[in-house]
Amino acid sequence: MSTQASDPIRIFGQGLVVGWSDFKLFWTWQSWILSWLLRTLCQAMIWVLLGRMLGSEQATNYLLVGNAVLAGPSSVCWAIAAAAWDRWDGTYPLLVIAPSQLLPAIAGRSFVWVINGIVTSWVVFLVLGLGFDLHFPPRTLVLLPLLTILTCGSTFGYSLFVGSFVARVRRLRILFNFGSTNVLMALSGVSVPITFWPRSVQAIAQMLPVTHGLYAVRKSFAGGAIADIVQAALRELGVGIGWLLLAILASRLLANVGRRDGSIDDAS
Amino acid sequence: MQLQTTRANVEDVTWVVTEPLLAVVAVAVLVHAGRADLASHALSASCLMTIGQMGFWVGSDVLSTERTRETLELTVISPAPFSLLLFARILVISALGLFGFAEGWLIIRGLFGLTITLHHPILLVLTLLGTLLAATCTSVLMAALFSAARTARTLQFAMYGPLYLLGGVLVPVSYLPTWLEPLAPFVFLSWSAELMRDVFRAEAPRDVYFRLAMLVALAVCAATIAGLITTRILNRLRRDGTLSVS
Repeated sequence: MSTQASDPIRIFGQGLVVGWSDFKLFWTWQSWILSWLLRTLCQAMIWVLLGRMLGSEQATNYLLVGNAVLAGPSSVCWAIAAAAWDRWDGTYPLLVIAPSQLLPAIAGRSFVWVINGIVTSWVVFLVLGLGFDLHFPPRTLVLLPLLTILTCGSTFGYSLFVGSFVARVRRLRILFNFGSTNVLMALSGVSVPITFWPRSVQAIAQMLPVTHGLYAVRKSFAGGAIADIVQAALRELGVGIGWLLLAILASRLLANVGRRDGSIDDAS
Repeated sequence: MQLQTTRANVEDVTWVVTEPLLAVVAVAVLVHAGRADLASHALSASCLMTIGQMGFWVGSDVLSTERTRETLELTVISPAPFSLLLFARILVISALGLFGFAEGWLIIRGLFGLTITLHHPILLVLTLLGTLLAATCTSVLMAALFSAARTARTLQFAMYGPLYLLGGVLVPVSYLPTWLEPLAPFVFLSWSAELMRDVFRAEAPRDVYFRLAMLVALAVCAATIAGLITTRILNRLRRDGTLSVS
C-alpha cells in the first residue's frame, strides 16, 4: 500500500485528472476558442503587425515565430498561479500529510496548462502562419510540433519551481505568472536576438526556458544543420531538467518550513 | 475607500508592474530595427495597456467581488446612487494605470537612453483624462456584464486581446487587415493611441477637438449602456431576492 501511495507517476496521473476536471469546469471548447484562443491570437498578432509596421518581412517572420512559440509557454506559466490553488482550496495540508511527495500532486494538477500550451502554440502557428504567408519547410512540419512540446515542457519545470514559492505567497501569483511571460518575451529571443542584450543579461537568458527551444525552431525554419537543432533541443531539455530538480528541492524545503512554522494552511 | 481596498490587496496593482515591461520588449524591437524614433509607440502601448488592464481586469471585477463577499446588499441600500459609487471606485483603479506612462517613460529614458520630446503637453493631459474617462466607463459596462454572466472570467479573458489589437495601442490601426479596420473607431483606445502618438510629433495635430469628442462620446455611450444594465440587474436581483447570491 505504501509503495503504491508513494508512486509519483500514479499520483501525477490522478492530479492530472483533477486538473483536467478543473479546466473543463472553467472552459468549454466554445469559450476556449472565443476567449482564450482569440486573446492569444490577438496578442501575438499585435507583435507581428509591429514587424509589418517596420516594413521588414524578416522582422515580421521573426516576431511571428517567436510569439507563436511563446503562446505555449505563456499558457504553461499559468501553472505558477495554479500552484496556489490547492492552498486556496484548503487541500494543501492534506497533500502535505499524505505519505507521498507534494510535487507529483501539484505537477499533475497543473500539467493541463502544458497540454493547453502545446495546442495553443500549434493553433497560433497555423492561423498566423497562414494569415501572414509564413513558409513552413517540410522538415519544420515534423520538428516544430516536437520542439513546441519540448519548450512547453521545460517551461513547466520553471513554473513548478516559481510556483513552489508562489504557493506560500498567494498574492503574488498573478505577478509571477504574467511577469514571467513578459520576461521570457523580452529575454528569450522571442522579440529580438538575445545578442541584443548586454552579456550579463545574455547569461541569464541562457538559463531561461524557451531560449534554446526557440533557437532550434528558428534554425529549423532557416534550414539549419540538424546537428545544431538537436544540440539546441538538448540544451532546452537540460534547462528544463535543471528547473525541475530545483522545483523538487524547493517544494520539499517549503513543505518542511510550512510544517515547522505551522503556516501550511495559511494561504495569505 | 477603493484606495484603501487596493492598498490592502497587492494583487490589484500587479498590472502596474507587469504591463510596462512590454515597453522594454517594444523598444528593444524598435531599436534593433534601427527605428528608435518610433519609441513613442512603446510609450503609448505601456500607458494604455496599464490603464486598460487596471480597468478591464481589476475594475470590472468590483461588482462580482461585492456579490461574492456579500457586501452588495449594503452598498445597494445605502442612499448614494449605486452607479456613481461603482464609477468612482473603478475610476480610482483605472487612474492607477497612469503609472504606466511614467514607467514607460523611465524605461525609454533610463534603460535605453532614448529621448522623446513632448511637443503638445496640453493635448497629452486632455488625452490622458479622456482615456481615463473612457476606460472607466467601459470598465463599468464590463463590471455590469460580468456580474450578470456566470462565465465572467472567460469573458474577461476574451476582452482585452481584441481591444488592444483593434485599439492600435502599439501599431496604428492602418496596419490591421482591411476587414478589421472598420471596427477600430468603435474602440476608444484607437482614438487614445493616435492622440497619444501625436503629442510626440512636432507638427500640429489635426482634428484634435473631433478626436477628443469621439473619446468622450464613446465614454458616454458605454456609461449609458452600463447604467441601464446595472439598473436592470439590480432590479432583477431585488425581485428574485438573489442580490447576495454569488
